[in-house]
Amino acid sequence: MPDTRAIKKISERFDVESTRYSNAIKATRKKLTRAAVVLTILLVAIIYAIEDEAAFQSKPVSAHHSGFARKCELCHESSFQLPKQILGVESARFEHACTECHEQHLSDHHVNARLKADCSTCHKEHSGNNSLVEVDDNYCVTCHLGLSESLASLESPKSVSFHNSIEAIESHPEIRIKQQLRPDEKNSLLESGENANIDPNGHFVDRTSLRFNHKVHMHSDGILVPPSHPKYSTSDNGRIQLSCKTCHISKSDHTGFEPISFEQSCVQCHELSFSQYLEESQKSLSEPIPHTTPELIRGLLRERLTNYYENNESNLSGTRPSRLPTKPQSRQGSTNRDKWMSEKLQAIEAQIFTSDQSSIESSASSSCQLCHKVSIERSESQGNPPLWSIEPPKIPEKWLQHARFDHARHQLMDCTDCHYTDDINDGRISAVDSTTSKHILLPSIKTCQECHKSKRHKKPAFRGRCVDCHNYHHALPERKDDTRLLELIQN
Amino acid sequence: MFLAVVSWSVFGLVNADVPESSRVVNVANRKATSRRISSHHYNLGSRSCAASACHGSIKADETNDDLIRRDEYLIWQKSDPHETSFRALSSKLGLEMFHRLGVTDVSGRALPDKEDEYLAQYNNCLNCHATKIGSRERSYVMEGVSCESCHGSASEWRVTHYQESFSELSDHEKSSTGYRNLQDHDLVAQRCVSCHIGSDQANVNHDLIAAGHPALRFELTAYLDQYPKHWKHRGESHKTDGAEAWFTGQTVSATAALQQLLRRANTDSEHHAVWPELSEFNCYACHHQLSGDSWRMTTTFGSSSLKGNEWYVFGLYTIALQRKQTGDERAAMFCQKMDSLNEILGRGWSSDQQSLEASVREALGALERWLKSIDKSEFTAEFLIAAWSEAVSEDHGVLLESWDRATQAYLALYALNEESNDGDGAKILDNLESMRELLSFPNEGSRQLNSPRDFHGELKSNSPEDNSNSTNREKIRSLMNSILKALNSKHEG
Repeated sequence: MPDTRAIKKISERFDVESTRYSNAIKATRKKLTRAAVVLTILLVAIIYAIEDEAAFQSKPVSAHHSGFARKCELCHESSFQLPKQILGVESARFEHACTECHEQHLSDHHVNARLKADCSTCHKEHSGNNSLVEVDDNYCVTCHLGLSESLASLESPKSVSFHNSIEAIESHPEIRIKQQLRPDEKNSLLESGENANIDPNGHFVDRTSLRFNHKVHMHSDGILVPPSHPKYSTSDNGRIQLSCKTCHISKSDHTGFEPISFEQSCVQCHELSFSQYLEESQKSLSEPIPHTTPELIRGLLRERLTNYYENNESNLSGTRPSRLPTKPQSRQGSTNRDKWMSEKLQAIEAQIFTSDQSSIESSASSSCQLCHKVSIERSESQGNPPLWSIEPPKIPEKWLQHARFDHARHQLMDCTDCHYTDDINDGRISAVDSTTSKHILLPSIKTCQECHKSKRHKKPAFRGRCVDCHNYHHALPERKDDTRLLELIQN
Repeated sequence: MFLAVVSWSVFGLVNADVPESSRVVNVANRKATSRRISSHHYNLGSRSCAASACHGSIKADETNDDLIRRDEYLIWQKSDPHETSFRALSSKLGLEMFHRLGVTDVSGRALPDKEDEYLAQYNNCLNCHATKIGSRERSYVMEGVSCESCHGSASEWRVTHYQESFSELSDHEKSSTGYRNLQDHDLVAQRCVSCHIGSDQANVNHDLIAAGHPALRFELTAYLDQYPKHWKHRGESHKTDGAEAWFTGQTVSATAALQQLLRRANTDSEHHAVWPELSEFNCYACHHQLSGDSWRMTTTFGSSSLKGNEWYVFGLYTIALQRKQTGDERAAMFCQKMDSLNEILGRGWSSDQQSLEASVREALGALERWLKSIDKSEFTAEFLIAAWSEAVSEDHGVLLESWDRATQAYLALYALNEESNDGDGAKILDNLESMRELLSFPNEGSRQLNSPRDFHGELKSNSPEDNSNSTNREKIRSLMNSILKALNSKHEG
């Protein structure tokens, strides 16, 4: 028999009535839940309807890719790409998508750069509106902190003395061209070998064949200018003071300086004239010659001499030449014109190219040899006098091969704050005091480090990130052809 | 007619009342005396010769042999260096010269206390450098050496000389009108040397040369050869080369030079000259390089050092030496007198002026006597070439003892070659050119240096057979030898 003592009637155990009345909280909860679910689905549907797949982005794409924000398939080529990538599936890399438009490659930096990486390793998309190019220092430091280990596996290290512990700008090694080479490094092939030679002390010196003395030109007393100089009228007793800007003219887009132009900067004082060497009757030959190649100068002189001969033929050949040895020889007849021309050409060219006499009109000597390395062919060719030649000066446009420097951003500084050289004996020589063009007037890294600090530095300072000066992809130009880009924009 | 009378009388009256001193007279002529203006002949100026129908035509006549060119004035004006001689006085060099002589300031204005000296100096210049136009009472100077300087003052013969009757006059009659016959080399040479060497009124002494005047080194054939000719070549009398021209030039030059030397050594009370006159010595006795292999060392060092100026006399001396050997007594006398003159001059400034003057007089006298006694036709090209060859036959070095001698030899050979251009002639000309190079004054840019910088080097031996070529003087010697040989064979064959 069941125990009937505790059995209540079901109806007495609970309040049957309670089912008649709903629980407000629960009811609300249920409603909210349902509403939430519906709302969510609705919201997603709406956002998806409005923004397509952009709805699923963690953060907006970077500013430069914002045009393709709606076109996820441009970069995300396969489904589940990210998880696949995390798991290390090779085909899930982002490289292919990037190289559709960009030409950069991992091996741009160094042919043996072995990184298990693709573009997105350093260039993190979906991080907000930042510039993808501003890669954080940490990415660089991963290799450059212990470079010798990774280079040790290379077949023939080019004896580069990369520092082994570059962590930040504070530990950046000295600029290559300011380093003093160790004896075992002296014969190594250096990237700056085109522009610089190595002097016996192991320092780099400029290899250009142009001679220039900054000190003479920037003298604090000023330099004498001839009356024909445009600034003569405002000069102080014929002297004007030159400044760096007088000759180093910045480009209009402020990306650097124009190459020094003889016609703009030099010709007002160093007029290429040679009239003081001519007889009075020949002054018409003596207009200044242009700053051009020896072949063109010869052609110009020939033309002038021919004109002179034709205009003065009667003078040259009218009276018979005297047989007295005390009189100058002047030969008559067109048969001797070539000989006359050849002699005159030789004499005048010798004066133009090598004379070291000052001209009377200007205070500066004006022969080519003053600044250039002049040489002459050994022998005549085809009856012409031997041709002079001038070694091309080869002034480099860019000294720092692997770094960018923006002069426009540094314009509040003084030129000589950075343009100096360090001499063993004389200490620091600024550009204004440099007497030879052999000096490489570039600053040591310490000058940069005075203002540029890394983010660890406590006090306010200018940014000193790797990307501020260096570019990983330094071997290639930055933009491929735009065809693909145009397609994307137009569709 | 009435106007002509009125103006003529007014003109006459105007000038009659004006005192003489303020008439239109060129100030430089105030004290001028000029032998070119004699009492009745005077210069008319080149403009009066320059009518286009006369001597000033643009177009020359080149077809008719017996007519004049008709463009003589234009040739003179365009190419003749004589035309520029007056302007030269106020050229840059001219002004500098006056300044250096101490009579003007830098801009050419006479210094306050030197005005008389300046006038005297200027007049001295004008005597050669200008033609004084107009009569003595009213003369002026505006052109350089022009037509009448050489052809004689034209006041008396201008309107007659183109007429047939004039050409029928005798030489004496022509010259009495003032016309100078330039068909004769002798007369030409005499007129040339009266300026180019000097005369009693034209004296370019060492002071002037030091002030900048070019040194006087006249040689007739060389100068004539270079002269832009405003005449047609008509036979022997117009030859500018050849034995006759050369010899005449030498005789006239030597005479004039000795006469000038006499004036400069004069001890007579009225015209006493100050000796030494440095231009009568060899220039290179003092003006010389200091470098080692100088030719002076071999001839002057230690021995009688300062030779006289041999430029004008040496050529004739060489010929006279030859004539001495063929028995010409007067030539021998001349040589002897020249030797003693050179010996006295060789003593330098310590020579006694009295004895110098006596010696010059004797030499001049001997020269004149010799020249009067000779027949010029004997001095043919063969004779002269032989004379030069003989001069070197014993001693090669004698012609190379000084630059003046070597250059006179060169000029003589040039003239005697007569510029023939056939076969041998071309080779001779080449050799002459090479000789000229070695003798020449260097031309450096715009400056003509005043010394024979390449005339140096030792003559190792003096034998005629020696043909080494190592130094410049030896090169000159071997060139001279080959020229002489070629000339000899040309005239023998």
